[in-house]
Amino acid sequence: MSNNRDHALIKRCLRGDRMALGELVTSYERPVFNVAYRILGNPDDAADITQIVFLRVFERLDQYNPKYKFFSWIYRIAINESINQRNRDRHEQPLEEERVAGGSHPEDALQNAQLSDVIQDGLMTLQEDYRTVVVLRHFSELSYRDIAEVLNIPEKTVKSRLYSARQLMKVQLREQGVVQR
Amino acid sequence: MIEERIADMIQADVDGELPAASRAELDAVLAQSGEARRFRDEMMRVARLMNELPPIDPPPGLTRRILDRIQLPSPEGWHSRVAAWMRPASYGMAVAAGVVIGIGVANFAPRFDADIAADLPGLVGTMVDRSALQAPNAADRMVIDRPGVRGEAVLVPLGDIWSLQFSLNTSNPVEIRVSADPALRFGGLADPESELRIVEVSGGDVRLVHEGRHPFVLYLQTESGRDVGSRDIAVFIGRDGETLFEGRLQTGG
Repeated sequence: MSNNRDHALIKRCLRGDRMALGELVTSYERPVFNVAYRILGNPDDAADITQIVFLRVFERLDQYNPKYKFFSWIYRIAINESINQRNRDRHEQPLEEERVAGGSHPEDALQNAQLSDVIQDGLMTLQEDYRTVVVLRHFSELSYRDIAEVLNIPEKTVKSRLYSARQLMKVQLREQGVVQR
Repeated sequence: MIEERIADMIQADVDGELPAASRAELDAVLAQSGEARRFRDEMMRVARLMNELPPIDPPPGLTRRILDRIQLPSPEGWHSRVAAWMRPASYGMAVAAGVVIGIGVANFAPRFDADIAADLPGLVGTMVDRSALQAPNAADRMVIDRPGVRGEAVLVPLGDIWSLQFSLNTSNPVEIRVSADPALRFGGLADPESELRIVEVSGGDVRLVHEGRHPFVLYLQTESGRDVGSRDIAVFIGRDGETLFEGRLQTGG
């Protein structure tokens, strides 16, 4: 998603153009949903958070600073809202995580679903700052620099969190027999 | 034990972010150290497992739910609440108009059933595409052919209702102003693409914003049984304070 294209769409949205709004929502709905799902582990919560994220974004669209990348802004809101939701859930009730199979190849769906569950279980054992960098790196495919911008932390911190998170994930995946000793 | 600096380089390599200047050094370390190679392979495996998981599809209907909840600012600071309360009424008007057209045009007869309301967008599209441009009973029509805005507006009598059918193609948002004689008042809007923004309605005057290429219909109503005679309907199209087009339609005598 190009930043110039995003800026052009935002300008059109600010003029009341709903077609531009539709383009922005369809571009970012899936990435935002996936970030929320990987942080929360529950598709219903992820769908709710996705809606909230877009409402927040468009409520504050006139405050958006084009100096920054639009996707950084929307990802940051997605992460904050997901973590807030996670904290609320933690206070209210133990999570019963629902799982969804990803993917477009039906023949691989079962294997993907099982692997997805194992990886999701591993992710949920990580502390939030580790889980967040893993999600942004592996599920949103952001660079170190982009992750640093989204989280507003130095690139060095991104690397060290990612390193620690991967070591912990490796242990989890070994215990589940997905990665050999 | 892997040195921290080497571990950083291995991680950067796994993530495709190893600077070119460090490549030779890392290759040399990997060639010499079995421990470094094992470390790299393990990290690669964990990363690949996560990278290869396909993204999850959002639930069906999520896009619609999001779009339905978002209000965009309308140009010139006008709020579009008017459009929100006007739309249900306009659908009723559109159905009524569709009924009249359905009687008059044989092509529409098969669509004239209980599902007509549910199929309104399709009906309106048909009304504009087929009847607006060819309407044999049109009272008046105007061709609009100016830089940035092209198309046609056709005025068709439908009993007590006048249907003003627009088929426009605009490259940027334009403001459309329709000012009807006081004997006519705005009765509704059929907008199959839901892209229009009504910014002001007062009696027979309507201001709205349009962009792109899609048909829409404005309905103007007369009092039942009243002969409006020959009345003018002014159409103005502009952008950023500049007039792009001005014209008049007449209801006839």
